[in-house]
Amino acid sequence: MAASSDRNPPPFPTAEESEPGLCDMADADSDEGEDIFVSNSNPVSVSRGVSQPDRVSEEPSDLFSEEAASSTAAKANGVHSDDDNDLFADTNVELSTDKSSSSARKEPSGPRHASTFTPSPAAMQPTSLEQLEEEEAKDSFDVDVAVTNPEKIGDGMNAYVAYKVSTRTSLPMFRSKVFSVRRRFSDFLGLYEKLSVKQSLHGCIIPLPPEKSVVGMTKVKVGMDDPSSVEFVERRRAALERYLQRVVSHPSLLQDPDVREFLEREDWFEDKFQEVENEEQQLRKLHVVVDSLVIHRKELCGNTAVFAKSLAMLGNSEDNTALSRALSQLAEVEDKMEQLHQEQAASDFFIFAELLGDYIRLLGAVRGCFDQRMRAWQRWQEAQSTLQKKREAEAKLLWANKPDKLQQAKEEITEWEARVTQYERDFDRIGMTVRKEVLRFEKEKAKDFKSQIIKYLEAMLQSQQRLIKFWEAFLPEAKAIA
Amino acid sequence: SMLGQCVYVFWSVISPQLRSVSVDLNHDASLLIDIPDALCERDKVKFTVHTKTTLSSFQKPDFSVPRQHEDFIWLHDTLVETEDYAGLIIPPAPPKPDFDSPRDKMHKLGEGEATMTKEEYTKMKQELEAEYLAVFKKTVQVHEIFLQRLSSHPVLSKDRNFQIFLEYDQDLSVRRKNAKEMFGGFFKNMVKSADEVLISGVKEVDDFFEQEKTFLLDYYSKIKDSTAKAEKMTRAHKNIADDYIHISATLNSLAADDMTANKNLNIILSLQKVEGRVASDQDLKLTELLRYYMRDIQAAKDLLYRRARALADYENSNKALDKARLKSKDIPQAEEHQRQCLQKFDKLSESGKKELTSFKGRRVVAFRKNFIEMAELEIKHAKNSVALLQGCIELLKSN
Repeated sequence: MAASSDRNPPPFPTAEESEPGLCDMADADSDEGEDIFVSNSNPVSVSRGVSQPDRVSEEPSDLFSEEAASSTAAKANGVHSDDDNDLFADTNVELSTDKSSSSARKEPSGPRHASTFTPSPAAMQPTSLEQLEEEEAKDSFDVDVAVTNPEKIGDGMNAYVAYKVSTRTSLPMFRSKVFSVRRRFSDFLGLYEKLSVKQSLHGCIIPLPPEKSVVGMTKVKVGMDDPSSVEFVERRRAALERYLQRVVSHPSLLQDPDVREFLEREDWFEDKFQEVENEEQQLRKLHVVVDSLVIHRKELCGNTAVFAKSLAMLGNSEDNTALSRALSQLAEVEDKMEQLHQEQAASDFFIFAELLGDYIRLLGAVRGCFDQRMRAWQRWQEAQSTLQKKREAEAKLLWANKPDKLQQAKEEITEWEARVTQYERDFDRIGMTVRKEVLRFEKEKAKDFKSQIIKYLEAMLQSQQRLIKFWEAFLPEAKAIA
Repeated sequence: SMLGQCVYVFWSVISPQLRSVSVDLNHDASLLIDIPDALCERDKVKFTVHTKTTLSSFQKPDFSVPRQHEDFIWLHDTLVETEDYAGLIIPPAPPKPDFDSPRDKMHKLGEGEATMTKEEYTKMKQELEAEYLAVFKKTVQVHEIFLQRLSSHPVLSKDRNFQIFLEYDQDLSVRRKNAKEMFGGFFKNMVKSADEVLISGVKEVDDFFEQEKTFLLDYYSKIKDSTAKAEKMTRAHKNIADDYIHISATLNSLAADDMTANKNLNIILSLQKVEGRVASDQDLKLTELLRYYMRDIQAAKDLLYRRARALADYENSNKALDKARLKSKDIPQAEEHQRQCLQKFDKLSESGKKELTSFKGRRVVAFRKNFIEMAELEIKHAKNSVALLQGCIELLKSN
């Protein structure tokens, strides 16, 4: 558990900043950073994922291992052109800058996923005077972030790298002391976009995330094991970490809800959706290979039948009686083999390939219901936005003193308030339904796959047992050759 | 590339059942030959030919020389051209080492590397390396058998060129070049006219040879057909084994339910291995057998051609003698010529009969041996599969 003794808040640098609204980060980056970590007496509170990779796991094991367990689901090899989605991230963000909330890609919390993170109770209330004083005097440097565990998700063109973003904090505004989420590069970019639009209006200098790199990501496509890809991913990881450190070190930015959301929100729906997408992709790939297997099996059938005939002809030509007989027998065995191959091909197709085909389509339907939820959310958001506009219009009318139009405006506000409430309820409801449905679907799928695979294997087993009989019958014929 | 690297194979370590599509030829202690290892550099294979002998005609009792494929061809061709051996079945020349198939596949694999996972790529590469090794083993085997056929033949084992091949510790390529210029054309002509001579129906005097001719011509076309079709069958098996690799790689990526996926993965992987083994065993026991005897029957046909040619020569000499008698000119020469032709023909017939009879026996024994081994291997692999499948099904059901 998060032992508060583990964490001594870093000593406060004497000079400078931390006045709210002061956005000069010129010194903040390098100097503050150095000051904090160099002068920190207790190395344990420094969370630097890379240099001390084991440390991250030393932390409250239940939090991290729990998260690790839930995140293995979508693990895969392969590559993704991060940059393709980076473009989409841009467009999403542009759309969402009109609205106050986050982009369409990231949904706000539906029903929150039941505690991946259990806030450690002790840490919430300062128990000693010392801690009280520290809490009062604390500033934004009570947040440490680390970016670790780059992991390739997905396969082929759509793969991407997910990083673990871990946060340690004593700030009460976060729901927990220590927590982590998985984010991909485009998420970091998305955060920057949001921040730069909002905060730059105040004249703030927003820290910059690392640049996109098509070349770099293309190398990662090949595999994360070759030196240049490893280096690329590592450089990016470190750069992302520095970026986040700068963001959380900035007092205003830290207060920004987008930053908080970026750090701590774990969206069940988003992860599940990603999982579903990955799985669909893998199934498609598998389907292609199984199709190939069916074709090759059919080819084998054809080749075997043709060979059997040829062997029979050869047997007829053979002048040694026993060998001639054996050749004919072998031709018959090959004929029987052809039969077995036929049945196996049918099994390949009807059991295996069709199963895959069905589930590819079903997963499409699952994605569809996520889309439904998205649409419900959008409707809600749009209604909120409309409501906001109506309120602004009302305010304007008040100022302009036009009582007749005012009444109408008031009515419209009431109407839209009702709508907002309704849509929010709809959205929550759909969310719950989707969740239930997906869980049910997954159970069914596991059962279905298992039973079909058992069927497939049993068919194969029968086939092999018959094969044994055929060859055992042939063996004495072969031995009888003289 | 991987194929460019040197591959050093200790042949004697490899399972002895992979040897000899013919019967075990290497049992006469007076002259024992084997190819214990071979080196593959780029396109060239260098075989180490090892001889152990008690014969005084050799300088040493135990020695080795490096030889290339072309050296084997030179030896074969000189034997074919030797008049004295016209009545013998000359063991078929080993075919040129052919790494085109694995090489092409390796090339394709390299091109497709970006689209597959690392594991898939590794497995495919391993399969290709195994295929490459199989081709390598086959070519060593077939070169070894060629030499062993010679060493176990009462007449051919004494051939001077054979001894040079075994013993000469310098590069043979110089001698090879000279020989090729001398014999190249002649050999080609032989082959071209062979069919015509036989088929144009020089009247056969001997029932045995008449039957043999009919049998061998028919058998050859059938076995050639069977060989080609067996090759196709083996290729299809290999394709299926490759598919299993891709399937197992994709299942690995899926890992939907960890436990189930791992079980599936293991079973698919094992099935793939079995499928691969089935393919290569079938290739060795059946396809290679057919292929070898197709070539051997061609060699037997060549004997018949030579004999038919000798018969034609004899009949021409008869006609020449008649002519000489008519003209009363050069009768002794014509008589001598006719006598020689007859002698040659008789010698060929006598030796040919022996050769063809023993060839029958050899063929039957070889087929028997390989059929038994093939059946036993199929049963073994199928039993493996059965055990795997039963285990996996039980595991899945119990979960």
